[in-house]
Amino acid sequence: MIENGSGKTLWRSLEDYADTPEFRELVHKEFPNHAPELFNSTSRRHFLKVMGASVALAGGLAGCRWPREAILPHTSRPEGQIPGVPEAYASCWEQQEVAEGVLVTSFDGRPIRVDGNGDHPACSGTATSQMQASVLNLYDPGRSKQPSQIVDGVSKNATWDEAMIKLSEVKSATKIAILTAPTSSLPLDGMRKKFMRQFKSGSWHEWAPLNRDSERLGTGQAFGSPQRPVADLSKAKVLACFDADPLMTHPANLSHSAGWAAMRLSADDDEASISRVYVVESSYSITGGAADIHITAKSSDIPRMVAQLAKALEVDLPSDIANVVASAGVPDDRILKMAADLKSQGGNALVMAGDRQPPEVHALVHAINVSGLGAVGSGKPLEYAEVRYPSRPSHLEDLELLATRIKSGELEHLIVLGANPVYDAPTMGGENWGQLISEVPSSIHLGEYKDETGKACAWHMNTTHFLEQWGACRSWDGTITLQQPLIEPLYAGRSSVEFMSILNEDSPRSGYNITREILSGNADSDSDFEESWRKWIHDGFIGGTSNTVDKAPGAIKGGWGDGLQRAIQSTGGDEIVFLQDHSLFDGRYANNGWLQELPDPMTKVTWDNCAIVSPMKANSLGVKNGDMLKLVVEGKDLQMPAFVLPGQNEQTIAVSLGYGRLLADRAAGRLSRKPLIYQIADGVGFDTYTLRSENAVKQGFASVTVSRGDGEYVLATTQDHNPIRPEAFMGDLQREAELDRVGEFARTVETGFSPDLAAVGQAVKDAGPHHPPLKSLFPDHEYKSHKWAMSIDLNVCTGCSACVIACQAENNISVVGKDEVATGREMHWMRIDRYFRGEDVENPEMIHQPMTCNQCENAPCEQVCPVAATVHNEEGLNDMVYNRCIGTRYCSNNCPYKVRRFNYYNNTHEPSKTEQMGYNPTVTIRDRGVMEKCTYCVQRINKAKISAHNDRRDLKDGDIVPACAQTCPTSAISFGDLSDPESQVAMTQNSHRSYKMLAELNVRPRTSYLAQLKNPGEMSPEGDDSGEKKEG
Amino acid sequence: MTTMRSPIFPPWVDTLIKLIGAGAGVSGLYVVLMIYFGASPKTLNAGYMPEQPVPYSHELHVGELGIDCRYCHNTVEKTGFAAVPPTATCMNCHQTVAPTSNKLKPIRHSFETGLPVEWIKVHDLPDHVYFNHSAHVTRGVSCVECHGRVDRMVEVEQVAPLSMGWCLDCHRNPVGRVRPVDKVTDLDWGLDRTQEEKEVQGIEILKGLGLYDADGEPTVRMTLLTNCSTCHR
Repeated sequence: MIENGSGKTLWRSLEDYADTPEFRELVHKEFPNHAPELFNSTSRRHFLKVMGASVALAGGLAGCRWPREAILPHTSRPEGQIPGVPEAYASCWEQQEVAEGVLVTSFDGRPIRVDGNGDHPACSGTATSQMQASVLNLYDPGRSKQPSQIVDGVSKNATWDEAMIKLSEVKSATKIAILTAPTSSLPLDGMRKKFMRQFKSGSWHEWAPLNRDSERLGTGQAFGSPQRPVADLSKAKVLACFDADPLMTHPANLSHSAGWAAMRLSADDDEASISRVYVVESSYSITGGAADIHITAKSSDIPRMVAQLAKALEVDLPSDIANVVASAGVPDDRILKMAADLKSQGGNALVMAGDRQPPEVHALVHAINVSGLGAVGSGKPLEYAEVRYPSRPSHLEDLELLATRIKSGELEHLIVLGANPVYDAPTMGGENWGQLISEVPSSIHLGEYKDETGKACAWHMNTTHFLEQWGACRSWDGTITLQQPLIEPLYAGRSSVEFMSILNEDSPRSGYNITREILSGNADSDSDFEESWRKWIHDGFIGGTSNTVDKAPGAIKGGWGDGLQRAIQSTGGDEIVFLQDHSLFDGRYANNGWLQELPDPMTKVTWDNCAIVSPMKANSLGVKNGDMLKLVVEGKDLQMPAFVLPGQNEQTIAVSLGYGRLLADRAAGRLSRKPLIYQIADGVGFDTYTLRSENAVKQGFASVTVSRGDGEYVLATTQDHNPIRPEAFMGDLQREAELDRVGEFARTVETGFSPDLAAVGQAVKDAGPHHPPLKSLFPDHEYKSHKWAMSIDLNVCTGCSACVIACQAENNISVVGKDEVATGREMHWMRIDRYFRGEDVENPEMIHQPMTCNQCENAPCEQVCPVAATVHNEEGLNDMVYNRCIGTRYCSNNCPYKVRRFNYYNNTHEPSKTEQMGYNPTVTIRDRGVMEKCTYCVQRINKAKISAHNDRRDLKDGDIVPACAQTCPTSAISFGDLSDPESQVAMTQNSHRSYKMLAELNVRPRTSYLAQLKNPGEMSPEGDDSGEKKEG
Repeated sequence: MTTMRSPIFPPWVDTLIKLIGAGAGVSGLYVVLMIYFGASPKTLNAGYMPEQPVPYSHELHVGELGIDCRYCHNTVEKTGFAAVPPTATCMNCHQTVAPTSNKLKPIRHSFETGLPVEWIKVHDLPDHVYFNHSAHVTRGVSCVECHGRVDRMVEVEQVAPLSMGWCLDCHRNPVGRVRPVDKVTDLDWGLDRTQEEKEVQGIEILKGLGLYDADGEPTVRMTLLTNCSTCHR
């Protein structure tokens, strides 16, 4: 058992908790491990090559001047366009068949940022890390740039003209099967219908490894036809999630996050109230971290708990279901309490089930919501929307149909549109998809990358990135969302729709024409189509096309009792669950450096996936972080490194999908260096799809035999990087006083449904440090102008890490690679410190604290810089002047928050012309030997100031929004001018919950934090019942 | 008894040593001064006059024909860049004026093919400097302050050093260097005024912009202009 060696209630890792000597050493070394790579330079060199292609800079030296630059004006400038002024266009980003409205910022024709579209009815104007990072994929040098064909077993490049000849051959055939990644694209759906009419022996199949089939099938069982539940969490006072993660991995996570945050006391008003969230899950999720009550259970035990909940709620069920529920056993106290809480809110409560749960659990959850809680209706949290293509079989059945067709030998052509079954589909009757594809005489793959499937098919053709194509998709609530290209296809790719048009139509049409035609029926009859079209393109969506209904789609039907009976059977032994990766999704972002280097919100591991085990399990297996585990599922085995995560269910091993890719084109036989180095996904992590059998896909989990594997593995985890230790600064004088508050950086207060804000404020203060009156050796600065400041509300920060990517995209932050991250040299200006709280290492609470430069008024960094490269600005910013920096790193050493980042190498060395297109031109690219850090997005501050003063007006609150604040799905970050008492940031900094971190150091940070409130009610470990009493 | 040995070095060596010492001092000073003045932007950058693909004469178009700067550089008041005009702007006149001139061949070629004319950048600041034209011309800083008498240049030449010290001179004290905002493109403005008159007027203009207060002292907004992050981001 792990002993609490530190006496702390707040800890970042088990090493921190146990206070091991290794951890202590890490804390006291500002720049750990700064020599070893001298002896290990090959891997670093490899990575440096990854970072850039060798494209010589244009122009030679003209005497002593820097290279001559040319100005290339338009020949005829488009009306209204001003060179150098970025413009935003509405478009649509799609994942899991769900569109999100986005605003794409284009700088002189080059898209550089993807943000949320705030006008879109189903989107909150924020963006996930994947949405934002998708722009990097556009400029990825590893993208497929031309068609290719396998000739005599060797892949060779081809042209689109040759590809068209191949397609005309397909056109004259009849027995064609098409396998696509599922999409809500309306033009592609039109093409599907056309294809089915045109090719009588054609078949259309869909496959996605991460799909929402159990929800689809479950609603089908409950209501007779599949439905899409649309939840509005801002109306859910009590929320219970069973293996569900509505705040992160759900396709509607952005609107869920905004709704959830609205219920978490985001503003301190008079009628303060706070929701209560229960999460029952097998592996700690983002929603689990945000929960008030977190219960760990095996995924196979959860159906029984849902049945017990239904029983406790006395839900009116069809007789066969009622019988099964009655046999589910006696609910324990936690379920009874959950039931009472859910019932008490008069319909403003919601139960959600996740993808890992079988359809019957979804059906039962809908029965609970509809009949048990009355959670459907106007003013209630749940609505239902139509699903696309209701008669579609489940993804797995669809794939089986295709496999059967292939095995029958009658298929002439197989066309794969964007799907990647060779990598991510389970084997079908002992045959893997590489073999199955090779059995078809002719196979064509259309994809952004020449991936595993692209290499298995006889032909590969390159498609467009979503920023290069026209389209229209449906968002979670059904709203039609327009997709417009921001740039001409860089490599002349064809979108799926255009590709299908080549097959279906005599004269292939452009994506633009197809999209216009498919939407022609949506035009307002009073106005002409052109007018409507222009409005849709401008807005990014078609208003009033949401297809939600605020009542239940019908009474709950029976007939799924047998399935439920099977689901609630308890099974012994260990289980494996397959997680959607927080960064790479299903693996599609594997070649995206930003996402690879983004620390996982839970494990803080970068550039890898790992087998997550609970501390108790690790103890019994005798493993620690990085030790190899051997996982055996249905006879297939895989060795991968263990990661010990508190809060993980003891009998569950969680692995995320999407790693262990093989993108590089080695089929050519030549190990040409150039193409290889672009495939940064290769060799990263472990391919866990190999363990995911058909059964595991269907069930959501599988039985696993786990044992100690061979050897160890280096996991680049940032969880103990940049640790903050006040002792280092305080000395013996204050040690005693400081022990009172040790570790309480991210403060939490427990409260009830209606928190007493004054009491909360007192608790926040009490948790703070006790220190003698503060005196400074340095004269105070005088601020006569703006005082920029930030406040971060820990109460609504879920740790989703969208801000980290927003910052990276905005500030041209470089990617350094796994080896460098492992030595603590990641460059992220913003990091999210994940703390665990409590003595129970098996199920501690989780708190996320985003940490970036606090812009101290009495800044320790400024005081030690020998060359004045970091200086105080009259608005209170700690300006970083890159060209003065000589790289002493004294500033970083003296920073109490550990937010400064040093360029040990020239990480952006010679990027290719394509990669350069993705940089934000308003921020300097930093070179080797230079320190950098958060600037509060000073480029945005200056831009807003210049444009306000150009118009002879003063800045107003909200004119300046830093990238992190703009993207935060829960609006946890506010920014503004403290000298304006009416500004949002001034108000939040005056909140009861506001505190400054390490205030005792007298550095006077400009960033303040708002303490987190937890509302566990009677179930808190201390039995705190204050909230309940207040209510009564 | 010993006799005095004759000196090894003759007496003129003393003079030589002094001369060598002086020579070393002078050459040391020479090196320092050479680097200081020789490598200064005033020497290296001012006077830079690359040959352009089209021999466009500002002297003819602006000086003689009186075309306003903003006819071509029309984004200068709205954005950071004073964009070089698109080929179409040239062709507005040159479809009828000198339509067959050999000198205009690259322009016509660009207009026909849609390929841009590759102008050479004359005023090229380092990439870590973010200069914004709109912030200057809408505050009464004339084109002439940085670009000189472009209306008298046949081929454009850099006249100012565009060094940081040179920028800061004005950021610290812009009083004599601003003019009424509607006169920023009037390069002849102020020839009839003394420096003193300009300064008196300059203070009034800066007061109107909120950069100087009623007492004629710089406001915070003025002092903010010497912050590093004003130009470096």
